Amino acid sequence: MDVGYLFLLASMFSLIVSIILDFEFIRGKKCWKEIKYANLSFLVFTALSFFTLLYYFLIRDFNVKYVFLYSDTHLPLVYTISAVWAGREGSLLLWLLYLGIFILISTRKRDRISAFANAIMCVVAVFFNFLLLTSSNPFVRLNFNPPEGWGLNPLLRTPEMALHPPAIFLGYAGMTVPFAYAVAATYYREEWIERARNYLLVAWAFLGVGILLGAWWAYKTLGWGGYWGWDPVENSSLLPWLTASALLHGVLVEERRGGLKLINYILAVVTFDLVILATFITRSGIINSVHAFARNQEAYAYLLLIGLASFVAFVVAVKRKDVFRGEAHGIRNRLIQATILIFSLATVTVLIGTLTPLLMRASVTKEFYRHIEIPLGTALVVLLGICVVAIKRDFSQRVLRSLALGAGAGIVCFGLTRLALASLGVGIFVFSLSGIIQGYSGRKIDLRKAGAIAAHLGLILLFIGVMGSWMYESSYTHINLGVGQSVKVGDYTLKLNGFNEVNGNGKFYVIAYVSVYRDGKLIGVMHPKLVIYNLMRSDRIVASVDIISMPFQDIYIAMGSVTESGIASFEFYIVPLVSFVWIGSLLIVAGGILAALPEKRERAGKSIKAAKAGATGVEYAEGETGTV
Amino acid sequence: MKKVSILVGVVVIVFGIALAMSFKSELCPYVTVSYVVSKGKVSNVQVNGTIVPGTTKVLPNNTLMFNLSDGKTQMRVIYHGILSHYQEGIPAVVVGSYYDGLFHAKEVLLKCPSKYKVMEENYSTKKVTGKV
Repeated sequence: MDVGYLFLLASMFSLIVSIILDFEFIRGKKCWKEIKYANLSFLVFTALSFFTLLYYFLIRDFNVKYVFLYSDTHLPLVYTISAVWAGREGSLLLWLLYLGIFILISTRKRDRISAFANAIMCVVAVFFNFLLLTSSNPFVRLNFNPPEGWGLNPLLRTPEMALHPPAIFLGYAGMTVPFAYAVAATYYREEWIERARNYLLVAWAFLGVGILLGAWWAYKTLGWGGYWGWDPVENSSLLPWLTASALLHGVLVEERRGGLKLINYILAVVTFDLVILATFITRSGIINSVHAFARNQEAYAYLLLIGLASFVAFVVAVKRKDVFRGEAHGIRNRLIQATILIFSLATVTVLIGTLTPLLMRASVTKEFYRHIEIPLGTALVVLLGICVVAIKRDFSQRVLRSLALGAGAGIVCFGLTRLALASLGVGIFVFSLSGIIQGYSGRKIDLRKAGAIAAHLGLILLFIGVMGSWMYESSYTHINLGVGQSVKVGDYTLKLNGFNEVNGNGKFYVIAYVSVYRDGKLIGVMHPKLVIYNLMRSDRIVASVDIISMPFQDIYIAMGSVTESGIASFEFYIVPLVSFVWIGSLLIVAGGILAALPEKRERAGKSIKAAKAGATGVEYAEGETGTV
Repeated sequence: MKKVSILVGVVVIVFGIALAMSFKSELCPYVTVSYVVSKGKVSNVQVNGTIVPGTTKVLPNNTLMFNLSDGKTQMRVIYHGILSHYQEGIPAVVVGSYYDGLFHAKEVLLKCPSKYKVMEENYSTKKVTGKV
């Protein structure tokens, strides 16, 4: 038996001990320290197992099937490390490792809610551990010693794809914490939001980082001039991000007014369910090959976990329905409810589209998503412009002012460009921007508010960027050029200067040199490439795109093929405002991180809460042994 | 409260109708070559099959014609665009419409058998090979 597998067994054993101790603690036994040790032991053994797998990659032990499938002797060190999470088994191990960290640090208060939440998270960990011990064992060995590995998919050899899974899975594992606390605290008729809020924010931010990296990778690598293809794999990570975004807004109302408790509870549970669904979709290949569903035993395991989590949450909710009483009134809370509704509708749309290939012998086109998500996104941005001024006096006057500014900007834009939709978009952008400025000016800005401002500015930039790049992209996909020839595409002239062939480490490049002119002036020389990897795999030829980024548009070129006579075929795209997409997304993510940063005010708040809790007889203790 | 519920109800119903309409018009079913040929005219479908060796014809302006077979029937496919991994004898999925005895493909996804297997286990479901 492999040593990595033994570590996994020890990690499983620690989990079971931790779960038993949790229930002993709930029954009144003083065993908090032991729970912490069990959690620590689980984390240490999972980490040891992870590093064992990493070690096999580093020494290129191709006898281990997983190492054989995802690496080869030419693979650079960085991508050898990232290959650990390139496949299903390694990703699940990473998931488990993250969960170990979250379990250890999120159970800081010594009370029965923490113990119950600890048990819930450990059950989730048992699930992943079980998969790793059975159908997704990364330590399976081949019965021969291959001299060379099959090789990491060349498409994954980019910094973005090396970092994308760790970010996404951090977000996924983090969403377990709000779920566990929502169920555990509701069971004991207590608040869960204060305990889970920062984990929710961190998980949401990292999920955002992961999605952004994936989109950026698709843009740079896949050569179709776009960054979001409404692919099931992309969609599945967007789903929990959407529900978590809704939850972040609901949490605001619950914290301040005590309303929306049931909705928040449901959102926390659904976000967790979607995280499990996403892990399943991205890592089982189920959507790619519809027929694999029956053959893939893990499919039922994932469905079982989703079912179990929903069932437990449902039973707790029914038993404690008195907890969900209380309603929030006021215009601002209504507007936040509308925001949650929009996020929910967006989630339902993406979910239906993503599951269609699983449920019927068909799939939906990109247009399905665009027809629905563009109006929803627009509604969200308009709502934002109204919502942030709603707590101010002279609410309707301020909205009217934004409206006037937006209409003015739209008209000016139409006068200049004669593009109706673009002008409408600019008008909405200015309307919401004016709302944000009016809504936050003159208020005391703490870190949470700064985070909200960043995220909301990010959203409207993302809106304008998505609009520009989806509606006004020009694509020229049939360009054939021989050396010395030139062609006019849109406002640009492309001229193929020549080729170069370069031998790299384990790969071979064919580089084309294409000069791009505008109005007779040279803008730059672009170098689209074909990279041919020296691998056994048949998908070893990868087109590498070249992009010239300007503030308001990107010019983007990909080489499809080169014939022996030296004629290359190119695809050329002019993508307006795509930089707004990246800046907007970065701001959204930064907003989440800013809002999660610890603040002095919070500590003061905590001691008041603790004093209150002391009066009601609940045991709180700060500063547990050896935890952060 | 009642007013709000009615408003939410109306929004959800309108949304539901829009969703159903968009879903219906943008649904792209998986069908077989035999089905397509027997129907004679089908729009917006995905067809799985194998590229028949010896049937490829490359026309100027990046246009490609080939036969796709499901083992029983063959149909002629026409595609405009670059297919950098094109090879005869490999499985392919074509997306588009069939009329006038030709399948007009908007998209061609090529699957090298070995690539497909590893692709399944890998992260990317995107093919670099064919686009709209």
